[in-house]
Amino acid sequence: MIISLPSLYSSSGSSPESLGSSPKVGSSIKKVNIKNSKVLPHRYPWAECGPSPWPACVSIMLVSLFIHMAFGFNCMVSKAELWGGTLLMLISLVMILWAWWESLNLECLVGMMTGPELKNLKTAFFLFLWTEIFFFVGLFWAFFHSALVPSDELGCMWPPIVGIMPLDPFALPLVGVIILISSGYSANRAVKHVKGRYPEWRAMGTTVFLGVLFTCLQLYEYKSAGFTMQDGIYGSCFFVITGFHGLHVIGGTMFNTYCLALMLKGDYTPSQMLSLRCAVWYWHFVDIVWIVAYLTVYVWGNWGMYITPKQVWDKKMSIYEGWPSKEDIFHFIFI
Amino acid sequence: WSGVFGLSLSHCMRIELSHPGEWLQVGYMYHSIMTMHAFMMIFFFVMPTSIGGLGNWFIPLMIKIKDLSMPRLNNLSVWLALGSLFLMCMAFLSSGGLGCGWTMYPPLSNSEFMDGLPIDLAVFSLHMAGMSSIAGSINFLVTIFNMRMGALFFMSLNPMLIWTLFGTSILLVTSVPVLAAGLTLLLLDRHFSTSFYYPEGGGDPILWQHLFWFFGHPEVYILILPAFGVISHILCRSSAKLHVFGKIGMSWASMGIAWMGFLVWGHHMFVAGLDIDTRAYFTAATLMIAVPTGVKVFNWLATIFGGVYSLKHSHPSTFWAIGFVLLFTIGGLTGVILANAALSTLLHDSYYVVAHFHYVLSMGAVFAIFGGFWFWFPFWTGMVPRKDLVLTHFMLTFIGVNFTFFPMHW
Repeated sequence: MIISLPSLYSSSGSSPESLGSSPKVGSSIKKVNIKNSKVLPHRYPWAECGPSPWPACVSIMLVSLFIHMAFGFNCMVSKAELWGGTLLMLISLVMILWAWWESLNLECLVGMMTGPELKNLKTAFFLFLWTEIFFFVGLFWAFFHSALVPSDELGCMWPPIVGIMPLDPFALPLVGVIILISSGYSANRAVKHVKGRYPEWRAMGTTVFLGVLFTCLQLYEYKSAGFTMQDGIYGSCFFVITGFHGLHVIGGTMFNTYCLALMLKGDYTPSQMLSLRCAVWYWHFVDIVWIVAYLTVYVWGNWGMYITPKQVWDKKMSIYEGWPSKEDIFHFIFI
Repeated sequence: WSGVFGLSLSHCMRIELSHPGEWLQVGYMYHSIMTMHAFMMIFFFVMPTSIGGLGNWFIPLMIKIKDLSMPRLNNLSVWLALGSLFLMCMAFLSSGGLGCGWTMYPPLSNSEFMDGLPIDLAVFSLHMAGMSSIAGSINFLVTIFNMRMGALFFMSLNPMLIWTLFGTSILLVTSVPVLAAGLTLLLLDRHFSTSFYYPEGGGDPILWQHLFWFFGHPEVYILILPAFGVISHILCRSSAKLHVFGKIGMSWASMGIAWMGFLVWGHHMFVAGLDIDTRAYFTAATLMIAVPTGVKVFNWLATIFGGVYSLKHSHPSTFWAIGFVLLFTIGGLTGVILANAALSTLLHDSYYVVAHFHYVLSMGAVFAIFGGFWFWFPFWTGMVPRKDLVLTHFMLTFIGVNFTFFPMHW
């Protein structure tokens, strides 16, 4: 896996020997017996990986996925083929990414993950989190654009006057907040366990379990909600923010499960646990996004106008019986 | 290998569409060509060449390391860009064409008016191009943050290209996700009956304008910042100086332009019905960006002044660089005029705006790309091109772009 340098690089004065004097390099080089081991010589402190087919595969997979989705959205394929095909392609995408991460793991085992290389990966992961943050900034921008100055079509009110039965933020969503915060706490404990070489996987297992629990809770809430994504800007914003958050929860849970598997296999040492720390950071990010979403969309957005899921259900059923209900009186007074 | 492969591919200049044809049956085809012209030039010519090409080649060289921090990620960036190009061409060639303009404002791009395949493919293409840019920028930022060898202190980093690519990467990493959010909302609007941009459901087309231009304004600085770095390099070599005049000031000016670029997106929305105070703020903020840009121009002039050179014997890329300074300044001045909300309202939808951005782009970014190409051509290939041919290239281009775009100011 050692690539031979083109002469252009060495002619610019960057031969490995001249780099050895910097203190940054010297302190984190692993001492290896270079003569007999198959491990790379550590004179260049960052990893040099060999050829890899995975980036091209990812791109080809994404192109086909997007073409498939574009055709499907425009009703050029049947509905079953659209969703089945999308699922298949997503699974193959996950498999390719898995293979990519496997090669990262192999590099770790071979010894390419030196301190500086780990620092690179850590910085890269934080930058990736930065992009995720700004993606959610865009979504929250959409929410605040609509909610701060509600338009006339909504009755100049947020939540809109007509047709929306907002959820009670102090019922099920609060349970969700508690679940996620406690899963963040258990994730931190998992990291501490590995750092202290304490062979205890239960903290990570709790994190995974709580993540799955949160997803189930959200699915139940989606099913029992009194409005859909199609119900105007309120429904659109709500389901897009919570939906993308849910996708990130699912992705984070998968990451956590992967780390749990590695933990059970015993692959983590206190110096080689970057993927676990990345999973935990990602999980904290997901948690914080949920708290922000909760406080803005649920609490601030629905302030004073919420009803409980049971009332939603009763209201849904009540259209077949009689008027007026509590909400109608409320709306009548405040119009 | 993947790193080297990534390097070599990202050098390709992808000039696909250079000029919309004139003798076609006009109508939707014209809109399609105009849209594609913008997308191609911005996303598949200037960005891959200046960021992918120059960045990939020069960042490792200038900070004296072997390769960028994550070669596989680099490779991914290249492949995603190719895939994105494929999707965009599919969009252009599919039925109906892409007639919404590169800014893709709803309601025109929404399902009410442009239902169908092309815009969806374009949305996905932009998603992929965005992912490609993010991957590349993360790579550059990690490399520049962590891998500076030879005890280069952060503040006195000499090569201007590193500073400008650093600023470019920060801009990309922060603004592209907002574009992704806006594009996703557009996709949901088109096919899932949401109402983000439909007023009937309480949504707002202005929301798209905000999201798009929050990306779009940093995007144009992304296009021009690497060009700034290239020009600094060419000018200081042309004047036989070790470094550009006031290099720390130049670094701060680049960072200032990058940071302030996030605060001015509203100057693309002066006729969209914003509040008068909002327009006043955006006018003031936009005018303030002229300050660090002026710092850079004056520093370039100071680099030339007192240098050892003569036009007859100088390298042809000097012409490109001096042409850049002159024409980019003209473009910048028209930009200052457009920054005023009142004047901008009058000049909206006129060719004056087209003249402004073509001056700063095809005479700014493109001059820097061509100049950099000829400047580093012997370095890359070991061959020295014939000077008179290169000068001919410059003369023809210079005369051509000026004749094309100068009359647009009327």
